[in-house]
Amino acid sequence: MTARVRFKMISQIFILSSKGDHLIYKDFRGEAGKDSINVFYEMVTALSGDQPPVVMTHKDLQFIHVRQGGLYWVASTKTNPSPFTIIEFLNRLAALTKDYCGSLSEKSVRMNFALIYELLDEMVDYGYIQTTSTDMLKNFIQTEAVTSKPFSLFDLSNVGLFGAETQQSKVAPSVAASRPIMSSRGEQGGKNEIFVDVIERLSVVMGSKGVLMKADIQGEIRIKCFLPSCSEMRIGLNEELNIGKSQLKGYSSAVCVDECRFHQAVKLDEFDTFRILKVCPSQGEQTVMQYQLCDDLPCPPPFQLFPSVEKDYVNRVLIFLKLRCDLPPKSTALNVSVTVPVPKGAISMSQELSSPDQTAELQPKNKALLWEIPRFPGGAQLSALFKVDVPGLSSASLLEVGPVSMSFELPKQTCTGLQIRFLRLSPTQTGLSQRWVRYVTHSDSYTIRI
Amino acid sequence: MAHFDTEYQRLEASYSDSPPGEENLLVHVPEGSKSPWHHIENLDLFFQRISFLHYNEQFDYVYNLHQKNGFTCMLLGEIFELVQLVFVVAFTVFLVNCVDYDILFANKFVNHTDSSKVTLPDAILPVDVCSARIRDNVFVIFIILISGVFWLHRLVKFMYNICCYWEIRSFFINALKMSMADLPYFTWQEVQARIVEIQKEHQICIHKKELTELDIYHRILRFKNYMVAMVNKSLLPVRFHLPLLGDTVFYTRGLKYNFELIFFWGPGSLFENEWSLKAEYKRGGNRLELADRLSSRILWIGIANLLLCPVILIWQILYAFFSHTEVIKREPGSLGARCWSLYGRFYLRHFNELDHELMSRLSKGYKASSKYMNCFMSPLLTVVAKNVAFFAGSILAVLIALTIYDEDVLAVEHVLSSITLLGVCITICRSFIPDKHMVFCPEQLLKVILAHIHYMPDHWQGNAHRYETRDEFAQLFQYKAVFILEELLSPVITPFILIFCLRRKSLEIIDFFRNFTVDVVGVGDTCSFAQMDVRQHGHPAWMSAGKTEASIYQQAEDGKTELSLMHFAITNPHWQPPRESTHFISQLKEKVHREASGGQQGILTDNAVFTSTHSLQSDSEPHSLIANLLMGPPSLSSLHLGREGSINPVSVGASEGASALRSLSPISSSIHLRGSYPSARLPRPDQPALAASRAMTGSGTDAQTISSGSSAWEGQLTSMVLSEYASTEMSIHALYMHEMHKQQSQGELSRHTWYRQESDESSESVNEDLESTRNFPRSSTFPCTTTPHQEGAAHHSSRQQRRHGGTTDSVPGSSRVQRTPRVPLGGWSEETRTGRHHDTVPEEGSEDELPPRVHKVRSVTWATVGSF
Repeated sequence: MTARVRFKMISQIFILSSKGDHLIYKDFRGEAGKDSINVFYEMVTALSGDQPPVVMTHKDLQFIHVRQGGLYWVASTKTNPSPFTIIEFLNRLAALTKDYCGSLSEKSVRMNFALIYELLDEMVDYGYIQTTSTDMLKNFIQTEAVTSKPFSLFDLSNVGLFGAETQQSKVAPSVAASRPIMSSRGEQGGKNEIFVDVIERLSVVMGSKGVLMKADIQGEIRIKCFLPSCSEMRIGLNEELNIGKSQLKGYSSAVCVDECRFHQAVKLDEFDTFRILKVCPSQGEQTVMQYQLCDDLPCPPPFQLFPSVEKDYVNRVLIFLKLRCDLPPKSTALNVSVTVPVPKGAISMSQELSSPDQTAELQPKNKALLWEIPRFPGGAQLSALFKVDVPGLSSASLLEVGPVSMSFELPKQTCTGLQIRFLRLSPTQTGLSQRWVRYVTHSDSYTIRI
Repeated sequence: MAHFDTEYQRLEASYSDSPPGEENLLVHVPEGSKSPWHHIENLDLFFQRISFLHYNEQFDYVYNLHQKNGFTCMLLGEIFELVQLVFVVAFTVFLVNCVDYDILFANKFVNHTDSSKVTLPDAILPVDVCSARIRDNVFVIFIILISGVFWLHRLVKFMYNICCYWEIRSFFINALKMSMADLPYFTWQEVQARIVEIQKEHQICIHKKELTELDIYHRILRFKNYMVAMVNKSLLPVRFHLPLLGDTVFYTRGLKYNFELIFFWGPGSLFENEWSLKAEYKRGGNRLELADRLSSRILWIGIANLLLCPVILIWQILYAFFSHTEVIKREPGSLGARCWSLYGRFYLRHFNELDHELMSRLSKGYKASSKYMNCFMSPLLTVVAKNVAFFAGSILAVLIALTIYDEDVLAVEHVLSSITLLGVCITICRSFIPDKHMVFCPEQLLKVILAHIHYMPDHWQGNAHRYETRDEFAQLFQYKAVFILEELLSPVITPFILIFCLRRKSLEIIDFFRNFTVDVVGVGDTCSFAQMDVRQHGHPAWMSAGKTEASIYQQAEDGKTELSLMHFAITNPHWQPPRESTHFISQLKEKVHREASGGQQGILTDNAVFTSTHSLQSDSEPHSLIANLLMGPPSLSSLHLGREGSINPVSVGASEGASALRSLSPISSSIHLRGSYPSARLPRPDQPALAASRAMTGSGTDAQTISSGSSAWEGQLTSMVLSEYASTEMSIHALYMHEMHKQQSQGELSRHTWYRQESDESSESVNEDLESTRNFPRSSTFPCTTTPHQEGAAHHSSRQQRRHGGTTDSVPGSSRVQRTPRVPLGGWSEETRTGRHHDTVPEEGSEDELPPRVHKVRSVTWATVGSF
């Protein structure tokens, strides 16, 4: 017995904020001292680069951590467990926390520490993992989640006068989905909601002349289900969904995807013929389907950059960026940020931006300048001129103005064209349940070479 | 998880199956994730795009200029076309209005003072009278007006063309380094090779580093490929079932012009410019609406046609009259001659086949085709024709005799005209009387035709002697008279076809263009069939089984994808096909090679055969050798060989085919290898065919490598030879593929009948034969374990053997050689029989027996192909 279980023993679990504050700390076996948190944090911060190794060792203690929601989720162990089990467990813990607390942030963890301790108590016993299933845990968890709901007029406007369908009742804010699954008895009515996210991540590398060099799309369909009990849910995808790589496609409106994976609970008996996923979701968030498309972008890349870099005076670099958004005119891109590496030793920058809501700042630490555009309508073209003062500028350092990376969010867009045709609950339930869908494409990495 | 600001949309409750249109309501994905921005490119690229457009058209012009033998020829041709137009109109108007026919027919006397002779100027009305008559006639003025507008349009186009061609001329001279005088000496392949070279240096196409041959072909043949594909998928309404005439095909130049007008370049057509389909047609969303729009457009064009019908009709009649009357008067038989119909040209055309390639292919098949059509002389008609000719001839003879006696007979009214009429009558009758000395063998002739035209429906094979086949072939190969008649009728019928038939298909057309258009980098939108991708459009019954992923809708019919791919790969040996296609080609070639090497060994081990090939190749021209092979099926080849004066075993047919192919294949492969000639393949240097082919190959590859520097003549010669070889190789491959296809589609059936016949002859050899066929595939040279079968085979082919003195009996290791003659003999007769049941008997393949059958089929096929 020991041989089997020993590999899953966890000594401690703790959650740290990005600044190293102790949010949650639980010691299961008393094997390691409490200073291990500080040891871990020193090890993490001592490493340069964004991605410290997931598994780290200090003396005979091993730390395994994941980062979710800006927090460190760490498990320490003295034995030699399968790291993937622990990673999976930590991810699951984070997901559960999110389900129960509504959202995942330092604030929500702070406010719901009691709930999280309760969760941990049920999930892990003396270092042995017991269960991570939402359905099981639902029976044991009693604590109410505390949510900080800022009062906003927006919520009021959501209430249709005399039951009239207002514009708002067609749209739900993005925060609507981030509420705890165990909502208080008070607002139970009318909140049988299902949220479906179709999220695609774009990884694009573009050459200097707008040539697409690499383009991958990774997408997933996520369900967040607030129904107390649901027998079966049928999700219809586009009927013209092709899976598998083929070299040339006609202009049929087919959506093509290289490969896809499904959650283990998904029944696929109708998938081949009707592209319908059948799933019995438990409460909380689940990734139903993941898919990816490699080396192919069914739509043109959303942004094109036309840069020019010149040496102006002796110690000044002139960076002129022209950015065009190739989305259809009706849609917009949100939270666009452009990061341009600047030569080492840049001290100050002056800028000329085309509208006041844009911001730009020089980050000498990262040797980069950051240009942020909160809203970028499709078809528009923005330009910006940056004059960066670099003492001791040489012509070689012009070359340091390297590849531009962008991050953005494209609402109501899927690059592959994947859509949810319908979402049906069977047996045909009350009309009370509300279904929401959102499509987002965001940048995983979007790099444009200069 | 990252936090998104995107709002959620309400997913409407829909408990019914939501119809496709509803999506737009439910979901906010965005009209056009494949959107108009697809084609917007960098503004900086704009000017380059102009040059792209320019060069896009340029290839077309380059090709035309090349085909028209240079600038001067083309200029003259265009000018004369314009002049011809003026002449036809002016002359007609003149004939109608300015000639006094009364004087011409001598109904009215001219009062000349000096002589009673009527001169031509007498018959012509004076200018003022003439112009007054024209002015009075509203209809004539209307016609003149319309033709004037038409002429002006042509003139503008001519001017534009001249400018373009002038540029292309300088492109030829400066970039391709070919002077106009030398242009006729260059083959298209060479021009193309130079363009590919040029691209590497000058980047004429900016979207791509290197141009391939396929890109160039795509540009030149963009629309034609679409038309070929549409004919192939029976999308165009060109076949009709008429109550009296049965199945007919009506496809004229006028109809074709209208189709092109509607689809490709007319106002509001599906294409927004030369190279790209309009964006809205690429999306499936509003296909119904688009189909509505298309159908209303077709309606309008149809109505316009209807309104213009009188004018076009008159023009057609006049044009036909002026261009054909003289020929018909000179040789009335030309009306009985045949030509490839317009439909035939589209049916038989490969994807990516240029005009000159198609024409040379069809011209090569012309003789055999007309011979084939002549096989079907109706005996009834012959008897009638003979007698009519007899009577007409006797009257004519008397009249001629009288004329010779006294030429005043000619002056008698209608004597001259009756002599002319009788002459015409006799000529026509004579064309119905078959040549006594001709021997016809429809099945073989059809094979020869197939070797050139490369396509035919499945049910023709084995049914060559039937009238149904003939009638269907006549749709491809029609009488010239019918052709002219159809052209004349075209203006009247075209509007109705457009309005009543094409309009109904508008939705299918919209779907077709959406589904079968692909965007190829640097080329633009092309027909996806023209990619010749076996995987996308292969037909499982044409050897691409297992490789193709196409649904039935996507499969090209009649093995078009496969044959086109083969054709293109053979005509453009430098072309690098995509991976699956390469695999397909290499597999096929390997098969052929394997069969060929089997045949080759047969030859080498067989001295008798060797000498016979020697004698056959006395006329050292390789093509005629192939022609012999193709023309010489077992029954006929004996005639051929008899003419040669040497006694040959029948098996020579089979091994000849193999050797011919083999002697060809090193050439093509050595082109690939750029001169690394596989000397191991040449077991006997003294064998003439191979030696000759080596010589050819040597020079060919030399020319290939140094062609840029060599003189025009040399390149011309070698590339001509090479293209000749290529066409021959393609012929053989086409035959091979058709054979394979036939066996594949009715293999099971033919096997049954095959055995039945076998058992008729010697019942105990059946089992042995079964065994031997199972053994067969293990080595291509056929294991010698089949002695019992050999007896059967010998018995079976004893007729043949007896005739040729049984020379092959003593040959060691010739079991294959013995086997082969049997196959065609039995095969032919069996195929004719099975062919008739083709439609009624369902194919049933028992899976466990499949592998041996397939192998057997292959070997048998090869033998049959080889024995032509």
